[in-house]
Amino acid sequence: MPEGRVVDEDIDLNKVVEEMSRHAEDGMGAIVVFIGFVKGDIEGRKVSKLDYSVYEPYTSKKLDEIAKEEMDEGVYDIRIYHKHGSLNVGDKTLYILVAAKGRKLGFEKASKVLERVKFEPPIFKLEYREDGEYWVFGDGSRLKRESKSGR
Amino acid sequence: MKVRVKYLAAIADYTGVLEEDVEVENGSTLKDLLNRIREMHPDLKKFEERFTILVLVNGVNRGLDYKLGDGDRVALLPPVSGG
Repeated sequence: MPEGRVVDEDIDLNKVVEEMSRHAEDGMGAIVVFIGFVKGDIEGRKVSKLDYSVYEPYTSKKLDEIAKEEMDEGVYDIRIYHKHGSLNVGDKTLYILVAAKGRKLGFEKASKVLERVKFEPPIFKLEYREDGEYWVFGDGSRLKRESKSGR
Repeated sequence: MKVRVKYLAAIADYTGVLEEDVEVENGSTLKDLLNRIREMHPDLKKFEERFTILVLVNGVNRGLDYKLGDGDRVALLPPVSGG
C-alpha cells in the first residue's frame, strides 16, 4: 500500500523492501530506493547540523497524498518517509522507495516524487553552519537568520 | 472574535512568538487578519519583501476573501524545503 508520513527515527529498510517485494508476483521487477542525508559541506562552509520542523498532521497528510497520487500504470507501491527534528551530518533525512515494473519507470517516478517532496509538504529546514544559521528553501535559496526570538 | 495564529519556522523569527490569539472583528476576512498581524509585527514586512508567505486556515489554503470564524486556526508558513 502506498504511504507517506513523517517519522521520528530511521526506518527498517529491509522490512519495507520485504513488504514491497511481494509485488514481484504481479510483475514488479525493480525497487528504486532514494535516501537523503545531511551533508557536512555547503558552498564550501562546514555544516554541523540541520533542524527539520514540520506542521503536523498536514505534513504527513501531504506526503501520503503524493505517494497515492503518483501511483500509475506499472508502479506497484510508493513509500515516502521524512524524518524531523535535529539531525547531524551523516544522518538520514528522507526515504523514497518506488516498486515498479522496470528500472526506467522506477527511477523516473522516484525522481518525480522527490521533486514534489521538496516543494509541497510543509517541511522547514534550518542549517547550522560555521558562518551562521540559515533557513533553506526548496529552490535552494537561503536566508541568514537575524533573530532567535520566539524559538 | 478570537483566531489562533501559528507562525512557522522562519516566520517566527520576525514575529518573536510561535503562536498567539489575535482579536479581530466579527465577519473579518483573512485579509483583515493579515493586516492586523502586520500591524502587530511590523518586522514581518522584511520577510515579505523577499519571500511569499503561505496562509492555511485549519490546514487548508484559503483566499484572502475567506471569512474567518471564531476559533479558526490560522498558520503562516514560509517557503517549504523538504528533502
